Amino acid sequence: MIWRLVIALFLLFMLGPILLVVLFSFGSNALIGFPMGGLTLDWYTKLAQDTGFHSAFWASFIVALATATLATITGTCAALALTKAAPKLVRSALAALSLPVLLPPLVVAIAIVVLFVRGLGLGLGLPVVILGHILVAQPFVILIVMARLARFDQATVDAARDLGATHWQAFRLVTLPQIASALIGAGSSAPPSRSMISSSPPSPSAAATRSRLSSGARCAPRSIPRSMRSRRSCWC
Amino acid sequence: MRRAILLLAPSLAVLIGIFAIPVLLLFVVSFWSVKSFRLQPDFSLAAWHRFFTVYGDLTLYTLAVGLAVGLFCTLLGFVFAYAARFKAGRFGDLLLVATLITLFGGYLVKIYAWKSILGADGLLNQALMGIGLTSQPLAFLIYSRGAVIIALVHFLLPFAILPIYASLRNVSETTIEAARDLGASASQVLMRVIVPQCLSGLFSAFAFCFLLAAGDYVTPMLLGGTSGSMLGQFVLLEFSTNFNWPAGSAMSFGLLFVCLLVIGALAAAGSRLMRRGEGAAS
Repeated sequence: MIWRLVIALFLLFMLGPILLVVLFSFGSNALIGFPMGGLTLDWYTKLAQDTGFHSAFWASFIVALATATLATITGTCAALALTKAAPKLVRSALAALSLPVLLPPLVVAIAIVVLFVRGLGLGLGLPVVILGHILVAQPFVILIVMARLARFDQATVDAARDLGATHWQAFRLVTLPQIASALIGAGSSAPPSRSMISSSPPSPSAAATRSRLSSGARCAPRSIPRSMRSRRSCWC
Repeated sequence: MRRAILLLAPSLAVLIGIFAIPVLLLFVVSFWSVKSFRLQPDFSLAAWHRFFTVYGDLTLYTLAVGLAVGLFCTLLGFVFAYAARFKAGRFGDLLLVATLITLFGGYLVKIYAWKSILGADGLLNQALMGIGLTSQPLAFLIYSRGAVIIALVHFLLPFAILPIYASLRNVSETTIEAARDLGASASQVLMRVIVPQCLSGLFSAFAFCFLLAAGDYVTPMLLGGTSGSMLGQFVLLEFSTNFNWPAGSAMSFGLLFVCLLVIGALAAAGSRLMRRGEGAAS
């Protein structure tokens, strides 16, 4: 009984605030508070008409898609190499590849900026954003795919190789179909874990913009500005 | 072997090119100096001096926030993971799904949610005034250290739950029942059977939450006001407005080293405590 109460309180704390934002994105009142007024889709229409949102959304979408694809490739390759490696190598490689996740994103992002702007004399842009995201997404992919490969029957690959398949054929025809679901899971879960609006469904972004629309006049500097969003997604 | 190296190459290339080289360069930059807004490659300790003298207090305060968030997350994460593992029965998996959903909730969305809960005309103040506990909105709810800590705990809690749950999964019911059969009380079972077995999960949960909380700058910027500022905001300030990259670099690494010191000290203390516990048990 007491545990039910504890679990209910936890769920209220963890899910409540998020559900609140989603709920009030359909409310006609500009401010969050009860009564919330009638149900409306006005905020979403406003969002759809906001040209700034369009470009931000597409940028997020491109970053999410590219990160998911590329990090799944690099991470899966690493996972394939590490499942057959010596335990000592596995431990050190995993530790090294996970380091970027452990450092504050701000430090990693600033280091990337320093390298690209000062070190290489290049500008910043979506490719740099994508590379930065791959860096923090690939350890998650490696862990998920390695967990799947641990339950994988290596004999099927050996059989394919015995029967004359090349490494690539054995991977494409035997390994890949068996681990495909893990790859989809890894690809879809890795990128959004650290970036905010990449691949987010319309409602949270709607809420973010809504805050700008509704509270803009009252406390402009405190509302969540678009520049912030792009800055953060740009710096990891 | 050659195949393994080839397969590892893409991820290692990203690691080296986008992480190792930039971070090393950043460390080098922390010894450079700035003259009339231009970076001068030389060997100067001015940036580090600035970190210790100007930002010393703020660093300590940032560490305190990080420690508080890390401790809250570890404690709450353990309670929730314990409930999901041992008390929720068949709903345990569902609780984990709920945890994962909050992971995907997005970072700014959560901050915005807390703004609308804690704000001057937010839900909490409306509720408090509604039941007549206060006639004026309580201003200290938002733009304070408390607001920053609550929002960070809310954001990082899933990251604490997952490793703790993973290590609790390896704790078998048999050992718990055996301890109970031998007359251990509930608290003894908890402290001498369950906690020692999931110590690594607890530790990695704490380290992760502590590091990320101490390095955060968005939450204090949006919820901290003037009293809840953290070092991360000033790192950003040095890099953008002040154009003092060396100072920003020194502050980044200074904070990182201090955090690692704290984690190292805790790890050492923890393993000593464990050894003494084993000594007492045998």
